[in-house]
Amino acid sequence: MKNKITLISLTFIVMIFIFALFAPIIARHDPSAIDTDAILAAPSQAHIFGTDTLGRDIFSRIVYGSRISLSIGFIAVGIAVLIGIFFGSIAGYYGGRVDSVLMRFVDIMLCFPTFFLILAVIAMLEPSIFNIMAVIGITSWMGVARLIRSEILTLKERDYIAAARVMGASDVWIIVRHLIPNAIGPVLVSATLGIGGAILTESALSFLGIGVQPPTPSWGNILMDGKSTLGVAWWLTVFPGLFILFTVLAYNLLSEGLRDMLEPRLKE
Amino acid sequence: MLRYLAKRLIGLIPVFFGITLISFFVIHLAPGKPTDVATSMNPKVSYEARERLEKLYGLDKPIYVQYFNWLKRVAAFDFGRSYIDDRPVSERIAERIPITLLINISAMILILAIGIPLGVLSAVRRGTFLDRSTTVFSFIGFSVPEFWLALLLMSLFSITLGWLPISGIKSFDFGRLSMGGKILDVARHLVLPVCISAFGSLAGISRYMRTAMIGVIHQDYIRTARAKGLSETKVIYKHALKNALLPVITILGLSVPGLIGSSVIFESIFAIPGMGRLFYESVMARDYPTIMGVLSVGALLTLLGNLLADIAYSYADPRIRVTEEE
Amino acid sequence: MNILQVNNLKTCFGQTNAVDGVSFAIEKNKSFGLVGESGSGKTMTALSILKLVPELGIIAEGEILFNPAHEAKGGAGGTDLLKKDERYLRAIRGSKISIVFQDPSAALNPVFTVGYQVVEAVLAHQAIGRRAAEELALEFLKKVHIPEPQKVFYDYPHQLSGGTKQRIGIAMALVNSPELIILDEPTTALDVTIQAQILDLLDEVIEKEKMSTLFISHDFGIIARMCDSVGVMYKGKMIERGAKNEILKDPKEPYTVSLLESVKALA
Repeated sequence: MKNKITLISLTFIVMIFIFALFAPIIARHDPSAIDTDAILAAPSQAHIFGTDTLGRDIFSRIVYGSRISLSIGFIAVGIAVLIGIFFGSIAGYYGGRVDSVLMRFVDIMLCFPTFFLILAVIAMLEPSIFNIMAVIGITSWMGVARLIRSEILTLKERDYIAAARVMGASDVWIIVRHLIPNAIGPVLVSATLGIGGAILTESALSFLGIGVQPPTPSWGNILMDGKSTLGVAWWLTVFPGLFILFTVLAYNLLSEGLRDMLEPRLKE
Repeated sequence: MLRYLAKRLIGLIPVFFGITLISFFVIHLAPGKPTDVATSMNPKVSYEARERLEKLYGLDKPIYVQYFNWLKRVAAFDFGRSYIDDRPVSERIAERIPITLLINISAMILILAIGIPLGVLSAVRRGTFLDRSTTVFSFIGFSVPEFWLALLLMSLFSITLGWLPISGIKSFDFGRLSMGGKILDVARHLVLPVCISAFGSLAGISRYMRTAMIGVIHQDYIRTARAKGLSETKVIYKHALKNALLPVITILGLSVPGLIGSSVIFESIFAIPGMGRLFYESVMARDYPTIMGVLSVGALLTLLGNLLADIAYSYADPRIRVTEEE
Repeated sequence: MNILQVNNLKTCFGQTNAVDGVSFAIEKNKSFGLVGESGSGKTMTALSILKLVPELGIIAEGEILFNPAHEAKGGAGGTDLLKKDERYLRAIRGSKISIVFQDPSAALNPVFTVGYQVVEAVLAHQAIGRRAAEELALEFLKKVHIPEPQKVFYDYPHQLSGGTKQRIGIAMALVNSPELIILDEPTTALDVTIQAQILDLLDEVIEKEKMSTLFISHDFGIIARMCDSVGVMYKGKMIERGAKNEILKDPKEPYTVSLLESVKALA
């Protein structure tokens, strides 16, 4: 049963990927095309998800928006994972003072409400797509760092590490070639979860107007007009939100499936 | 227990320094000087005023001196004056904190009141419909964008059904209401924000509680309790629960930053004059002193929350509260 | 007169039979030993008696006839515990039949004082007030020779040594004056020096309280010391059974022989 769910999630994610890759073909309209005759039109044959306050086709905007959401999700998490692996492996491998200092740094970073930090930094720089990816990445590496650190702490006492050292392998070699590949399991689970989180964060930022700036469509900024059109145009709010919900859900379920695969549990 | 707490408190000092350091660093990320916005955007500001401002913020001094001055001021809760209305930032924050705290504490209570029983029941009735539906509910809870949920619920309860007010924390005729009426009015305004704030964390806590309970139920001492002839209720709700709650206390402490952070979103949506909304407004207006002030205060609140969770944990777990015999 | 008779007990986990058609009897005021290596099914047999088998296990077949003093029907055999409901069994557990577990550190709840845990055992079965229960508990702490019992009463398990914790476990099992006590490897988790003390204590207590005993161990030496009859278990089956002296003098199964040989004192 669990495997079925994982498979369904994977399929959904693949579908979103296809949306992103083949956006021009799948979307029926130009996502930026303003049509003053069809402002806030209800879903119809021409516009299957309706139109927004500028008459733009919502379905097309959602399809193009998948590009933004997916790429931000991936790259932000990629950055977080790289930073996390870097700090975590150094802390775990060298231990002692280095470990204490680095973990203290992690504790400090964890004290900041992440969203506050992200908002503050974006306020300082401007909300370009790259900045958003970087900031999300820089504020979410802590979990990965802790995971890698604890895995390495366990693994570094193993025999094959001692053997590698005897054969003259340098520290960097050991860390990169032996320790990290074996410690990567939980990180993969956490990263998949993180993609979902990054998508949620980006959409929240865009919704507040500090994320992806229009006219570039992102699932979050389509919802920006949602508040003012609540009673009038439900499609503006419902459809993008559903896409966010299902995509994040898919990633979360996928991560659960990965966890089951990578960590064989005792039969309970 | 006191020794453990003293150790933890001392450990917090470097964290406090770290927080101030990072906040300071964030200020200086902006290209140009922090005072540029206040001065260059505002044609009324004269050259002398600009110089005065720069002196005030010590921007003519080397960076480490600036940091030291910043540290001194933070310790005195002096975050400077807001660019928007020239009032002291600490004053602006102080008037907004109570509401945010009210919402977050209420949300916490809700999370505990629903999340813990849900988690316990799921664990005890593992595999049943209740357990499965709770799991589904948890996953959706993790995945739903909070602001979207806010919009939907607002649309349902405030616009369509009209049961709850749309925004703000008081109605127009607040002044004319009785004491009881006033309380009820505020409560009605806060129902949606509190529920939405609690929603995501609720899913997390109930899931965590479930895992903790399942782990505890398989311990030997539960078998001993049954072997003594105790009723199943006593075994689960006294012996198992008391142990399973311990890690949950820690998790609660860890969820504080999340709650504070998400207050930005729904305070904006529901037009609630809290700290989160203040932050959002100051970000939009590039009001750096306020941004820094709220950032630091947010971090300090998190620190406080963690400390409280630590105290609660060290009290609850006898292995820490009562030190080992030699 | 048998206080407990197990007939053809079968307990399985999925496909495996942890207990595979085991039969034996425990005589009143006598002690029966179950000996075998880990995994032979000894503990599962004991847990099956009180229906405390873990979640995925099922007691598939058999009879467990319990024949306590007040129900002596002179030959009718007693009540089949496997057919009784939870309420009946709960009344028996900890009061008519008690069990002492192997690992005292894991068997005690870390968040309650040891005194409280003993008092709990009393209050579950005796309708006396809290104060009387506490006095009774304290009395039993003294009976198991715990030093400074007044102080230990208010201690938490993590503050106590292994030996003391096991004494608490024994006190908890005795406090309602059971007729049958099951001891599942009570000394295995303890230091060797403490083991002897605990065995002496058990000797004394069993004698004084006049109990029947089911003693489980992988160590034939301990079984030989503590028991009158013996049953040898291997992979869920009882391969040999009889009076202690018979088995010691004339073991019939090669497995029994190898078990005996592993205990130097008896070789």
